[in-house]
Amino acid sequence: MKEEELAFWAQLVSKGTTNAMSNLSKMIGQEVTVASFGLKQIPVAETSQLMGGPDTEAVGIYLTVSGSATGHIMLMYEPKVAYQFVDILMGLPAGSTQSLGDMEESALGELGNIVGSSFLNALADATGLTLLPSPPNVMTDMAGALLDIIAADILLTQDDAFVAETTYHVGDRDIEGQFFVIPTQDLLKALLESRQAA
Amino acid sequence: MTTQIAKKRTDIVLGLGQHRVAKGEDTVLVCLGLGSCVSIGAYDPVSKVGGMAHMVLPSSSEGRTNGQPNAKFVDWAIPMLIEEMKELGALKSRLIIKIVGGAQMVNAQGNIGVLQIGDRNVEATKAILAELGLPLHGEATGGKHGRTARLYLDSGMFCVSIAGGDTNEL
Repeated sequence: MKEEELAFWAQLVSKGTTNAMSNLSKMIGQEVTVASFGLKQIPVAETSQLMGGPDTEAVGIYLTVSGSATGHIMLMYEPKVAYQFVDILMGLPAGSTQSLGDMEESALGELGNIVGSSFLNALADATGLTLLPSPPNVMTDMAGALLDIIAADILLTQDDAFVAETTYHVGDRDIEGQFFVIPTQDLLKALLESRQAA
Repeated sequence: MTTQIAKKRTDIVLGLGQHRVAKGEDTVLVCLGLGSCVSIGAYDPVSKVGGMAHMVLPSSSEGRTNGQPNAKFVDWAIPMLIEEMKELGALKSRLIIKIVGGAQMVNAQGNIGVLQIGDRNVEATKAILAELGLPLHGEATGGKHGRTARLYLDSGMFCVSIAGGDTNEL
């Protein structure tokens, strides 16, 4: 990516993330503070290291993106953090949730919906593109296995991924979450072209 | 005092699109957290040469890539792996070949072709093996769950684990 494209992309991700965090905060009724935000370019093969390693167990909330471009949204949490979110979403005392059943998965899916669609809406508003999220899938598995879906799509056209990483804290509970945005070439191209058109 | 010395093994972990051949008793070739990706493990029990690849996509004809051929694509990975094993002294006719992975992690919604990639990777792997006249000796493929594959070069043991730790020999 050229420098001005990178700056444009950073600006979009920042808008999307701000909107996503603000709606997440409304949904869970807790303050969400962004602790850090960074962009980096890393080999696709290394993306699962972001989640502690390819065979580390993680909970993934996955949505596909369609419309003007195709892409993927994946929210990934350590199981412990996902349980903390379920406690908040279902109004339970901290430490209540110890595993994920249908009800818990559905609550996390709703969280994915809110975060994913808020992120996409902000990007769509800024670029005039149509970006639609699919219904969410909630899965618990090895981080590498969850990320394969996305890695395969990116590796089709390139070996590096542009990763935007946001670290945030949630209210009075000791939750530190991370939000990664990894665009496909198709999405990135559509977004950058919208910039030239504007 | 007698001291029992535990067997020291060296794990070589292959990332997406990587492959490795080795001849070494203490070596274990590993693919961690396979979802839709397919790991192929090949072993010659006589020369004890083993090889593994962590394959991501079925065919190089689908990709736009300007790099050197690598193990990212099934049709590039397998011939390359077999050639390099032969250079280390393996005999093609003796190879024990097993494959792991190719899960469909999500229920496909919409028409993003990449969601069926697990099945397509497995099909492509079997097609290339058939084309090269190489029999398949075992597989743990498909389904909806991630897997880790380990090939032990001292014995040729090929193990598959799932999240949570259950391990089986293939």
